[in-house]
Amino acid sequence: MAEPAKPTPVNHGTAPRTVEGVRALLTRTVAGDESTVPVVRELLQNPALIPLFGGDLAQRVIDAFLSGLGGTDVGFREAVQVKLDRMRAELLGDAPTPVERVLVERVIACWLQVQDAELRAGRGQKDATFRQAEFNQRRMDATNRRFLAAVKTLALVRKLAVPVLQVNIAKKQVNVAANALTAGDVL
Amino acid sequence: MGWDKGGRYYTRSRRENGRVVREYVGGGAPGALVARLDADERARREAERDAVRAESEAAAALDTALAELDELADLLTRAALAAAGYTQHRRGEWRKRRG
Repeated sequence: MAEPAKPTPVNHGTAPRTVEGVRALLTRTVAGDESTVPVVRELLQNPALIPLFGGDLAQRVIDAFLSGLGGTDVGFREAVQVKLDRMRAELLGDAPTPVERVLVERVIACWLQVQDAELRAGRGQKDATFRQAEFNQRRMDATNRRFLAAVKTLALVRKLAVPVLQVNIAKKQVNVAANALTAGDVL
Repeated sequence: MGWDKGGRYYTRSRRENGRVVREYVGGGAPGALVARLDADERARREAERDAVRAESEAAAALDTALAELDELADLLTRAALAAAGYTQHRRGEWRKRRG
């Protein structure tokens, strides 16, 4: 009987340099390929690789939503951009990791999608056909769900990255961070 | 909808209890007027359908791009958690691997 094919070990010197390469590597890690873990750990520390993790894509998505919402209205676009910058600064905090940066960009893109869905629904509300109203309602529900999931994932990554804080109270050890991890931590 | 009897009468068709019923509107100037009003109404409905279609297509294009970002961000998160020693328990909560 033939032995199952072993995954090709990842060479540290040939870490992926494209989005497709990074995607393939991350897929192997998620599938349980232990040989990829050291390389992934190394990559995830490097802020210069944020564009490969989805940073560029996030920027394109945000730009597309801004154009869709504001059209040629430069004033509107600038006002939304200021709001996004504030939101970004607030969500990033003091020392965000590259993963957190990508997740924050996703939260911002999802927030824009929610605004887009609500604006489109509101714009055509008076003259909307039943089908159009149904489409708008479904889209609003879906965008809201996606936005909440994006926020939840960011919170999960932040929570799991918190170092375990052990407090000794009268010889009884309380593991604070570990107790905080409950069954609700679903991705 | 159209002109019947060699263009003498303007008629409209509608469905009534599953059957198509033809209504004779009239000929001459009144028939021409109603025909023009009907044509305007059809054009308005067509334009409305086009606008709705364009709006839905624009929204779908934006949503497709975001779906790709969503998928990549989820993959990144899962890989980062796996690399940090976490494992997902029955597609639910993430737990630190033992050992």
